[in-house]
Amino acid sequence: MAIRDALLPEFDHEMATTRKTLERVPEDKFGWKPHEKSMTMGRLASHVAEMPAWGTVGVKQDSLDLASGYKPLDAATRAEVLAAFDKNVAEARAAIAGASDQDLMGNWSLKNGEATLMTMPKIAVVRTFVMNHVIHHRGQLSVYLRLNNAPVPSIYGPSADEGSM
Amino acid sequence: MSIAQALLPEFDHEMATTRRVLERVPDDKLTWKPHERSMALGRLAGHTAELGGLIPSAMTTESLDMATVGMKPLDPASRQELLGIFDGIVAKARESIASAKDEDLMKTWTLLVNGKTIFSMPRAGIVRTIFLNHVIHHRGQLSVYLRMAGAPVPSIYGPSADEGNM
Repeated sequence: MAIRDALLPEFDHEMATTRKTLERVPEDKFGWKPHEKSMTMGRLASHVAEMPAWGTVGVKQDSLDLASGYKPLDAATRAEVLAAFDKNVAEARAAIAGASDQDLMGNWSLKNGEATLMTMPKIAVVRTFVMNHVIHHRGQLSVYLRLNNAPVPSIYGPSADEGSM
Repeated sequence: MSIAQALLPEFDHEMATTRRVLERVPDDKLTWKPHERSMALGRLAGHTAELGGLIPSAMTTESLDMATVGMKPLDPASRQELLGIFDGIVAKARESIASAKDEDLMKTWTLLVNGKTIFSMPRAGIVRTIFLNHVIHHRGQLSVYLRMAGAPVPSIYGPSADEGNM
């Protein structure tokens, strides 16, 4: 089975669950944070939304230089979060769908100017920086939703609000 | 590269990160919950730790009916108990994955509740969804619990507010 064919059903499923979660983010609570050291709700949702774009970078480029300046998304509205997410997901999906096994096993490096911070196959970039990283922050977001009495969607099985086996 | 060979580096990395997070669980806050509808911290940590326990049986069965299996949810009395159980679960899960051939991992496995099919997928998909992604999800939740409980949050995918600077 081609690597992309093993990945895409999972990608679609996880991005659909992620969208369901982002749709629940209460717009009037974007500035809320559970603790002074925490990200705000708006920034956390934005971080989840921007992340699939790293999949496009991870597949279509051979490296990223952190010193080249990256502007993190800090959306002001849920509509802005969802629009960014949808665009990033579509582009990442197209990049993965167009990648051969040889492409995906090719090396990708994270750099900071002259220094190379890490090198890994492109499929590992998609796995760690996109898939696992989105799942991690989406889990955080589910707690933020709960703390603000927003209904938490079923993610891996029922939540306290929805889905009964 | 076999499916198992592709999975094991990620398994090792994510289980090491998970251990680091579980090591921060405060013994005196196991019953704390951020909201009345939430899991308690100890139970959330226990759930994160117990998920790998499914893997050895999933590799040797073709289905599991959650209503009949009688699994006792892990709700540890201490961090030490939590870590001891986690380490044992990880070792057995790793062994199961490492010894699985591609044809084993592509066999269909079904989750049922009271005879009703919830889903069927290749065992490799079970490792990915019910185990790895599910652990990562609950570990993310646990990181927020740690932050709220005043415990230092480890670096997970890059620096946290407490550690690791690029």
